[in-house]
Amino acid sequence: MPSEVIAEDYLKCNVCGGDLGLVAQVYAPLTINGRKIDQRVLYIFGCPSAACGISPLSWRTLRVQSCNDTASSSSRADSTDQSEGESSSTREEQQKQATDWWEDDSSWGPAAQVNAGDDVGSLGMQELEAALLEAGYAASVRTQTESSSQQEITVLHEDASSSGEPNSPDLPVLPCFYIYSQNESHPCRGSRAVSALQTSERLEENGVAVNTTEDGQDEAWEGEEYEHDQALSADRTYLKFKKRLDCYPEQCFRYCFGGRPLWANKDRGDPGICTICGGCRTYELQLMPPLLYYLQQACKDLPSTSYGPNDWEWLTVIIYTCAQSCTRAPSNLQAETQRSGWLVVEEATIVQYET
Amino acid sequence: MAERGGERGGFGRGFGRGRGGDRGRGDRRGGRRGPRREEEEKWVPVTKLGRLVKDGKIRSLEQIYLFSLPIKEHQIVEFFLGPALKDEVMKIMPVQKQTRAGQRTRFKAFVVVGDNNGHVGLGVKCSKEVATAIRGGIILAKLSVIPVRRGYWGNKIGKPHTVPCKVTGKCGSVTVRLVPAPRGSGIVAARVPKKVLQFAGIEDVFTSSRGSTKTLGNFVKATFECLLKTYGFLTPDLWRETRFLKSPFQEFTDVLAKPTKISVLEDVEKTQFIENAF
Repeated sequence: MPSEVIAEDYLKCNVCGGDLGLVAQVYAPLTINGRKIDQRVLYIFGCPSAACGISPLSWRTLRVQSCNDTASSSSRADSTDQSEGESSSTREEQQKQATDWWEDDSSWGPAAQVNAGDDVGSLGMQELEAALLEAGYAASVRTQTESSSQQEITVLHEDASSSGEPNSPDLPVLPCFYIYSQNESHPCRGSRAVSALQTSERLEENGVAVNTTEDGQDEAWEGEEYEHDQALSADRTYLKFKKRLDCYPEQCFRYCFGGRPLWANKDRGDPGICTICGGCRTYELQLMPPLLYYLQQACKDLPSTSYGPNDWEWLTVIIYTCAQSCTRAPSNLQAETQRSGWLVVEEATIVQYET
Repeated sequence: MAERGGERGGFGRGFGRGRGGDRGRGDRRGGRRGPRREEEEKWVPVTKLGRLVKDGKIRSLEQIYLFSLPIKEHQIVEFFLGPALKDEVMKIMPVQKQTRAGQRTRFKAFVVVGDNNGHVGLGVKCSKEVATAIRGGIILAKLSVIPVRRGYWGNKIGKPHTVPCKVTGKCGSVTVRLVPAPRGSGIVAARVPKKVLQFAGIEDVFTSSRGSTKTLGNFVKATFECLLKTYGFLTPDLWRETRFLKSPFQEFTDVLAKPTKISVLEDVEKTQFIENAF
């Protein structure tokens, strides 16, 4: 998909006007109402410039989807006549790769981007467990900002300049990682049960009685009732969030189209309605704090620049997309989308912070 | 996994995506995790404070208390107090709820953690299984670890051994009052709050309680409240002018991420005391 399909405004931060950095690229095919959408990618952008990445307005999610079936073949044809930086061709080739690997995935395992399972994406299965994605390893690359040689472009390089111009050296680039996905089994009953068993064994050894009062002392305790979890500085919602995180401490993404997000604090934002079809939006995926940790660790080792993810302090970023994953573009974009065959839609991004 | 990645880059010429060669492979931070157990042992920090702690930028727990930063990860406390932190289950009580199909029993565990030297935490957790309640209680207790100020009864000889002044705490209908005691008195209290005071590192204290102390939860929480107040009490030692320090968040980021709270003023006094005491 040629990158000029994405309007330049989309790639600028709402708050500071600077370029947005690509944080995540999620290949998320769906099957909705019997309609199979294979060419569907979500791009999540964040503003890495200092003091800006904190506000929720500097985050943006774009859903890029093909409008017609011929789009896939035309996109491959387009790959040969790219005049701009190779990042766009790279991205496109990834999509090609993603589709290819999607077809013969067993030997490869997950692809370079995130491959959300097709079964997870079905709209009808609301109770599906979220697929968690852990960072496999960091293949951290950053194009040297001063170098002009662009042969080796990173996966996550974003191209904000218009066509014809080579990539400017000041574009924010974040280190890239591979993400592996796995299904979540509901709160680690497995290993937790084992360690819980050990704890109770330890108790038995120490002779702590459970139901009886202490011998030798007439202590009649009474009046206890069920109490919700509480700590000095953490409320119930956050404690549940942390509990799920502790089961899989390295989860970077959670994906479940149509599922329920894992809230980190009580204020739920308002996802709004889809700008194209007016339908409601539904939860699709969320970013988790280990992602921040890995990004910051990776950035630590690289030469410091004026931008970086070090200012990001969110607890989670929740992404809502159109429930129907609509493809019909509004009138002003109709010509554009029919020409290129790709639909670009901005989706809702809700950021939750530590309180 | 890195090898596979390298191969992929090598195979198709059309990929055109370099990994920056050595840097990519050299920077590989931990390969694919093996068995699940190892995954659970490793701590990936969730909050900003956690990231700073993991990096080693925070010197001690006292620095966190000084700026009243909320501790939202129990691993932070484990990191600083480590093996010195002991935990104990004070009591497990069954709690029942009447449902249409009979009674549903859950277990409520009261857990206290502490290092017997100025840090104590209290956790209460309800769960269907005893073991889960205990484990959850330990985590909640670690999240609630507070510093305890100790002082002298009379002569300031040796280490502080009792509460610095009379403090009282209330929870529900139970009020507990801690009164400084001379050395050698021991902890004069009921069995359960005595545990909390022992874990706090208080050696001698007189206590007096009032209200329905039969409710174990309220009783221990009232005692805990007392201990919380020991550092909130302004004594003449702390009359000295405060010296403002930079909060770790300010120190380690270029941006004022959080507004400085007015409470920094009182907290700096605490630091002065801590510095004086040790």
